[in-house]
Amino acid sequence: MAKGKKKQARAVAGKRAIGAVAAPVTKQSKALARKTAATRTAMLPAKIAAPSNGAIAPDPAEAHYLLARRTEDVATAFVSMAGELWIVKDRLAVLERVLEKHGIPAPELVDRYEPEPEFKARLDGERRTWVRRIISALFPTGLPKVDP
Amino acid sequence: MKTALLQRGRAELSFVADLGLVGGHLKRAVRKDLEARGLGPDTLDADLDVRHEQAETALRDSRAYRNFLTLHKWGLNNLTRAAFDAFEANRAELEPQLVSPPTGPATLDEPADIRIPGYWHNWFHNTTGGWDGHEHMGFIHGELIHRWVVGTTFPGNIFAQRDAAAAAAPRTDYRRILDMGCGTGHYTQSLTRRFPSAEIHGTDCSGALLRYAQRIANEQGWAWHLRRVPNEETGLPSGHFDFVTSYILFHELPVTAIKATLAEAFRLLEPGGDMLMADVTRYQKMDPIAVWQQDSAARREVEPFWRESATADLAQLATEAGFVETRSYGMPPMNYPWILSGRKPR
Repeated sequence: MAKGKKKQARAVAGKRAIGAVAAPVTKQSKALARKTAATRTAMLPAKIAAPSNGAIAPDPAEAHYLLARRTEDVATAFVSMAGELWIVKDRLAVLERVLEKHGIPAPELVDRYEPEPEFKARLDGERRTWVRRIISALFPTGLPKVDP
Repeated sequence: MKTALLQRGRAELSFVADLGLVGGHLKRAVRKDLEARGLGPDTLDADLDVRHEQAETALRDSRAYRNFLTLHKWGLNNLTRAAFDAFEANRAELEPQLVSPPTGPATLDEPADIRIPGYWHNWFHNTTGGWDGHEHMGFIHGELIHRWVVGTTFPGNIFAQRDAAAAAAPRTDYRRILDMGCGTGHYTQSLTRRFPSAEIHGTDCSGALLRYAQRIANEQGWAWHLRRVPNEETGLPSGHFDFVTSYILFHELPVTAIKATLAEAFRLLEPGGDMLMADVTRYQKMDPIAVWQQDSAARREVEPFWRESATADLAQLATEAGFVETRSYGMPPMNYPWILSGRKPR
């Protein structure tokens, strides 16, 4: 291993930013997250700095109207939206189920509904299909094929 | 304890877990992309820092890699948040059970003069706010993050893996066992089932996790002796145990702390006592692409000691600590967990 090569690689690694810390919703956890991020930033040795998973170099063969950084923000929002949408889909499915069982619209019953094994298996299967479909949209021809 | 979640928390945590499963699929696609670009065992550099640069450069235009990174980042930024949210939505039902735990035989000792090592505050696994960052982190991490999400996404069965590690102990007649870094007690439960007549002790730096472990033990009627102390300096009497063990602790520690932990285990064991530490697979037993993927994940997850721990010669460290008959091996079929074992000479 050439010494210069190694030094250069470490210098590049040292310039990288740490990935963002979670953005929790409660006031307490927001403050904790800020404190944690600040502490980590101050103490992180250059050699083990996290690689940037931020800026993505645009492919010149494709049209890009957004800055690369914003593209990732859009992707992040897209995944968040997928999560939110699944929550709604799940809720509707449960609501229908509860209505079937009790004949009344009862949000309280939906909130506290604990899926029986058979219904849980159905929800699990639908959710997994849903998640794969959403992520597949990030690829021109669906999820890449891989060995199991 | 009743732990059923309201619909939103249940659905969101399930979604986060399933996203992790798709992430596993993309991880395999990234490997394929790397190989398609001519990088593999013969062409990846032996130096890990250089290997990172090689892979980053080669995968600049890999959709699988870019999407994998984006998903991984989303997971890192949302896993704990989703668990916090699920807890908050259920606080009214969960908190009364947590603040008034069942009484029972388990004890928790929290010495006033505890000296928590610096690495633990800032680096011990990436959990938003730290292990004591939420008053009910024991429930949040143990049940919502670990059991619900990690239990779904991690290869194999994380609880069966703990049982297997406990079963790897050379004897079945231990009388006094110490679980170092016991957390909420998932491995401690395996030990209790495997060695039902043994006196079980557990140490950890997190008061929140230990309080939840105590709750679990009392609920089951198990007389665990829990102590909030660093594993390197437990304050427990020398020669008290015939088996000292840990599960998935070492990769969170700098090598200096691993040495100190082994030294403490040696001190705590009676002559002829056994040591068994289960941890992550050694880098030298993984192929170069898998090592790069693991090492880069550890970077993103801010697990700064993973590399030095996963490349350390554990058998040598155990020998230096005084242990004999040391063994260092991976459990089939995935070389996971990795087992380090040894015996204190008689």
